Amino acid sequence: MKKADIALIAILICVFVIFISIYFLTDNKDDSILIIQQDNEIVYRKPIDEDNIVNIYDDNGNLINTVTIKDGKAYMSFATCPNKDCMHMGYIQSGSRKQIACLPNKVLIYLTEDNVIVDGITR
Amino acid sequence: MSKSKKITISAIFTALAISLSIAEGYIPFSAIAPGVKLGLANVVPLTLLYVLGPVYAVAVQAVRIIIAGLLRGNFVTFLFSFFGGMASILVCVLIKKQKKIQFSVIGLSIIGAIVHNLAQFITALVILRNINIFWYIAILSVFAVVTGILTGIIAKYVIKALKGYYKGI
Repeated sequence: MKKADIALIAILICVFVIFISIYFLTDNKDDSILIIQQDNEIVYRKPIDEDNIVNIYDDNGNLINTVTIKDGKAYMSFATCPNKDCMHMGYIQSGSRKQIACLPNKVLIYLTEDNVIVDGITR
Repeated sequence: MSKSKKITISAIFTALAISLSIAEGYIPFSAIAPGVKLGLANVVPLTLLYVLGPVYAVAVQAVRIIIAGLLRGNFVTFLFSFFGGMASILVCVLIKKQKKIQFSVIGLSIIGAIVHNLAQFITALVILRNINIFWYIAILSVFAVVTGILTGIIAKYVIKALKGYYKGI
């Protein structure tokens, strides 16, 4: 390895430390509204405390994803995508910044604040 | 080395890259963190960049992504592989071309892995229009450095072996 490689790795480690610090220093405990987004559209918007099973269908009416909401936790319980990464991503709950994305199906589930009326989509 | 020999070698390496792309799909890296991949197939274009030059490296990468995309996944996953893979190799070509800062193969491999992630993040941003995914890509980038070093080490030895081998042709 050359000097430039070491410098590169050092810079990257610094950037990651900054990101991780921001991630843990800024909390979002108030996030209690669960949002399910499909193709840039919000298809579900309810408190995470409400137990539910949400089926998501594609344009042809085929079931592509199932989101299970139970005991304040939401997770992807079914997906048609090849790698099933979204199903392995565990659950999201209030206070965590995590979101679960099923990129092949363009489905995203995340939490947002209670009092915000506008949607969480950025343009 | 004659042009026809270069093209033949590129074809063999394209086949190797496609096989690696498919084979990697069966290794459960997702157990570490969903979305993590070793990126073994990226060793091939990186190696060719040193052995045959930038044109062959970019061409092999493009053909690899298109054929592997047809064999596996859907259109959205193809877009992710395409933008990630092409951005990665093109940036590697440019970084190698400039003479101010000299990186080794390992350094170039790390840059390639990071650019791969960034390009996929931008693709995800365009598709999902949601900035929330930034945090996940930040976590994946940490893994990208590790996988970049690993694939860089593999590329380093492959290049060393190939350069000696092709000297005689």
